[in-house]
Amino acid sequence: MTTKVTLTSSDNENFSVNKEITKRSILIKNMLEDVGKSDTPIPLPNVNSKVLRKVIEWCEYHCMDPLAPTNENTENQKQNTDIEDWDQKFIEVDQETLFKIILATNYLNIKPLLDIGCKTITNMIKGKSPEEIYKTFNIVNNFTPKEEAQIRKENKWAEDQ
Amino acid sequence: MDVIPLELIFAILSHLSDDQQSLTACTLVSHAWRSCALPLLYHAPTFANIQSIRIFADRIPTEAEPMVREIDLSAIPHRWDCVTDKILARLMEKCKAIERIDLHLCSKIHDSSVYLISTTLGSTLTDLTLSQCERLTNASVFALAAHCPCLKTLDISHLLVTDVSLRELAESCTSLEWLSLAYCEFLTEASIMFLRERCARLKFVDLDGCYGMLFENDDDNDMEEYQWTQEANVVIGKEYEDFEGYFSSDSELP
Repeated sequence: MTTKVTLTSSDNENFSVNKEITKRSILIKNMLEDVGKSDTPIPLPNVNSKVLRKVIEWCEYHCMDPLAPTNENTENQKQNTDIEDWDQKFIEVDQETLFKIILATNYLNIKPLLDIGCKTITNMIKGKSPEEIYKTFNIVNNFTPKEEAQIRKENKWAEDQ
Repeated sequence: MDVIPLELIFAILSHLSDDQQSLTACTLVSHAWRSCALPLLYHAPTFANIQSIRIFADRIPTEAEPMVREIDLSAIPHRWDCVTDKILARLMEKCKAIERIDLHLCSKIHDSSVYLISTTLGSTLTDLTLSQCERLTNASVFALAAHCPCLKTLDISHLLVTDVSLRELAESCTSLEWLSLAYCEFLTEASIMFLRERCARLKFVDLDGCYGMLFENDDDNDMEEYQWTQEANVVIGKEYEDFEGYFSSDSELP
């Protein structure tokens, strides 16, 4: 029989999850190691139930992946913004949820899922103009026209490649 | 997007490190984005032509100057005509933290440029390619030996250098791991002696076309016997066989 762990979301919903699966989160893995055997639910005050459900879904699908992927080839990974098909489908969510998944995985320390979230945003940025970027993400452009003109001038070398 | 902390914006933008166009756009989004994009954009800038290098050197913002770590001019069209000592001097004036420089076939530059690069960057410089910069002489190698002890990779193929400067190089640049001496036709076996004595970390030496080296062959001996080649895993180059032979015969020297 597999051991279950109870996770409590910020909105007080309890999730009973296979212990091995929760270890995808380095935060929870370390907590479990510190606490030892215990039935007390683990509170996750930074993650709401909607996002937690999503994250658990990802962890369950990827439960067979090797734990703690090697950090070699980080250079290669940096350049590679490809996302696997299942993950691609999984991450097709509205922007707010996407940000919440990123923040949750950063907090829970689930690096592979954090990478997928970050790469998804990277792909949304690729090839866009500054105007398109701050429209897409609702960012307030806080440059004065003078600063902006200066940066455009500095950037001139990188144009027309 | 305001909810995403700066460190994660940096992680997001770091996936764009080979996409200069997108990074350029990111510098114009907001102050926060600019602070994340700048180190990525300026780390290893690539240039389409000589004009873009000039603009780069003239307009680089002060805060980006120490972010430049790699300058590769080996893809600039007509670099043999247009990359001059002057433009390199401009770059050296601004970018003093460069670790890697590729000046392949920038054949108009003189020893003075290499001297300037060596004195400006000093032990920061780890990788340098000067292949086919045909005006360079021993003076360049002397400058590197005097100022750049941390060089790991050096390509001085097709240069008119001799044993005397290579001895200096071997004396000081003991961190060398990869060295191309291809078609340095004035070098002799003595150079190899210096390297062997001093540069224990060398893994690769290209001696292709080093016609000044007269190797003796002695097939009875195995290169395995020689400590230097044992530590240095690979010593390749077209002259590999002869190189091996050289070590063999060398063992019989007093």
